[in-house]
Amino acid sequence: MKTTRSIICYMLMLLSTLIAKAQIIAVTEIDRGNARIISTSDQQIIDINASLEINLSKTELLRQIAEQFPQYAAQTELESKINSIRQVLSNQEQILNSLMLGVERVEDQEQFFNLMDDFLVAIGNNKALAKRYEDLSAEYFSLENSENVTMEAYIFSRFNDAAALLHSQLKLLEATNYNISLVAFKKDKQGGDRVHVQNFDTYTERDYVTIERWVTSLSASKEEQLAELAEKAKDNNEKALTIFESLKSKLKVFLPDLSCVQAQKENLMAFLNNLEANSEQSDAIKERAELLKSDLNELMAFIESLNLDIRSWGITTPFAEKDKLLNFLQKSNDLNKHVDALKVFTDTIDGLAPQLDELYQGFKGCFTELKTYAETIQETLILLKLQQSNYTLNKTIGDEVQRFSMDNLPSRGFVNLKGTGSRSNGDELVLEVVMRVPSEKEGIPDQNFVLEQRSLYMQLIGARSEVAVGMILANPLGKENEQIDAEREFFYAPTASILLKFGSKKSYFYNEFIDLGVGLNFAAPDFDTDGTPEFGTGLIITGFKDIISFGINYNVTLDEPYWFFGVNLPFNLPGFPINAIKN
Amino acid sequence: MNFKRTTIIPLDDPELAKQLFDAYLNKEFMILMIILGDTETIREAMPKADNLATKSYFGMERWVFWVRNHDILADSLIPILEANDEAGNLEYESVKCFCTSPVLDAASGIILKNGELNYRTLQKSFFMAQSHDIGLINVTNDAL
Repeated sequence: MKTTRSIICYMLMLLSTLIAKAQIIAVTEIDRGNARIISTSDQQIIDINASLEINLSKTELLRQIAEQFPQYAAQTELESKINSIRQVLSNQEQILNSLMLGVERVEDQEQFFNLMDDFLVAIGNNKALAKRYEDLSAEYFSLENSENVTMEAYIFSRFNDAAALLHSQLKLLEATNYNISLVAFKKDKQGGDRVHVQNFDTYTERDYVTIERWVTSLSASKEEQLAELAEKAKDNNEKALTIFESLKSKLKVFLPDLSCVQAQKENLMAFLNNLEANSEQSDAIKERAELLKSDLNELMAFIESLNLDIRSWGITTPFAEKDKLLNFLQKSNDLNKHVDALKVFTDTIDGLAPQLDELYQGFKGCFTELKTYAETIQETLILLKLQQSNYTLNKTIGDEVQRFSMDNLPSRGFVNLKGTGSRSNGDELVLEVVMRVPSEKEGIPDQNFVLEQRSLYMQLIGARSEVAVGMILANPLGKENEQIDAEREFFYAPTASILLKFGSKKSYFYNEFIDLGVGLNFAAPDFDTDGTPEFGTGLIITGFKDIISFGINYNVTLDEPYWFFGVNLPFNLPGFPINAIKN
Repeated sequence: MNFKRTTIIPLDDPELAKQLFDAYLNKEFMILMIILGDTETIREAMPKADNLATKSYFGMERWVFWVRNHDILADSLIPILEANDEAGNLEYESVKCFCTSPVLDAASGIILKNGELNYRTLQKSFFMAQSHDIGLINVTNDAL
């Protein structure tokens, strides 16, 4: 029974090993002395202040190059063999030193046996090497002077000879020169930035920033925010949007007003209806007018589609809209040309000129308006493009990123997240293993192929404090207190809270949505409506990124307890003057 | 077969077999490799085990016992295997090779019937047994 169970377990393990795709990049997070391997099956959440150890598997790297680039098959085969031998011999010096020095200390002997065990296991994992080991062992024991030669030294030296031979074969192969680089980028709401990977590039680190776990005081800017909230308790127009989002909003505001185009369309229809009387020229005029109508329809469709598209734009999409803008400009110009053509044509027809003049003036005015809009869109798109350029520029591989051949590719690199400058929860760290094939022609850049990419999300894991300011609706519990304005049930009050929050290393949903907070609340309600705020304090619970808050406070000035809630939407609704909490 | 450091346990005299085994087992600082069975694979592996037994690491001697069937020394070997944490719930009949550690005589480096017997696995088995008592050996050395 036990044997059957063992076989099933073994089969399941084997199956899971086969299913799990081997990776080139292995990431270990080192946070305050604790190491944690971030496997690809785990949630890719890392502590925002941690250091990362990035290990590269040359075996897997070579396997992927061979798989994706069959033209390098002969080269990668030789490189794989060399790599296998080098891997099993990685501790040969230590092993031989231990044998030659005849180490006596427990720790040293223990290390020797561990290294020998690693060596024999590694040999066993490679059929060709295992067979070679058996042959070499037999050869060794057939030596006449085997007592005077260390078995390990004999075997290691033969393996080294084999690696040297393979190396010379690799040189004879005149292999195409390709290089490997490891690059890292940080992606945030402002775009992104390159990240220094120790051993792999010569970038300098950005400002050294530790994201503080315990924030208990209001910064100057937050104090200012609180003051603003107090002043604008009933009138909240503030929005906290990223630069990109702001530009998007701006673009939306400056989208062409359809009323002008719509009006011209109606004018054109009216003009065509009145045209029936003059049948001789009506067909020619109608033909030109149809062109105008089609121009107007296309413009309307474009504006409507652009309006819808903008909502879904991300940092990588504005370039796609460039062509649309050019198209829009072209359409506007076509419209202008067609109006002119119609004018020239109708000017020759008696009696039509005054009728058309009104239409012409309307079109011209609309065209000028569209042109102004187009210029503004163009300008905003340039700014959006700059934001995107910033992002993509950081993605391009700079000269600082070193190139490595298989021989000298470091097996390990380090990223200190504290050295990556300002960052916030949810920012992404992208690691890429890039194969770089130099161009044969001068002046043409390398061809870069991303062999593997890992994205990790930064989060302040564990307990942290946050200071939040916002607005609450307070409801006094006692109705008898004469000092309280009896006409009102709820009072708006600016508020500040010190919240205890927890970052999860296992759940994106919790970090990005639930985000519970519990803490102390300090509010300045004005229950007696005398214009001087009172002081209230108590407990608060917040959730969903502080959008919803609930709590109970005590108005110390008026000796009155009250409960409160806050719905701190990230946008404004008419008649719902509640501010968003600022963290 | 001409062995240098191997004792072939006689199958016709259980008393003698036990005496031979105990004599070697009780020797301090010696790693015993016990190979059980008499198949073609085992016959091929015996010279390899014997060759490896000529090697000594950090002054520790090695010796090989060829026990050609599982019955002859079952009373001596089963308790050693059962006492070992590495062996767990193994069936004695499924064991093809193991070593005893130099001081505690604990079974280590066990190779089962489906396992390979070659220079690599036999060497690994010897090393595992030697590293089993590594702390004790050094303590004993200090005491001497």
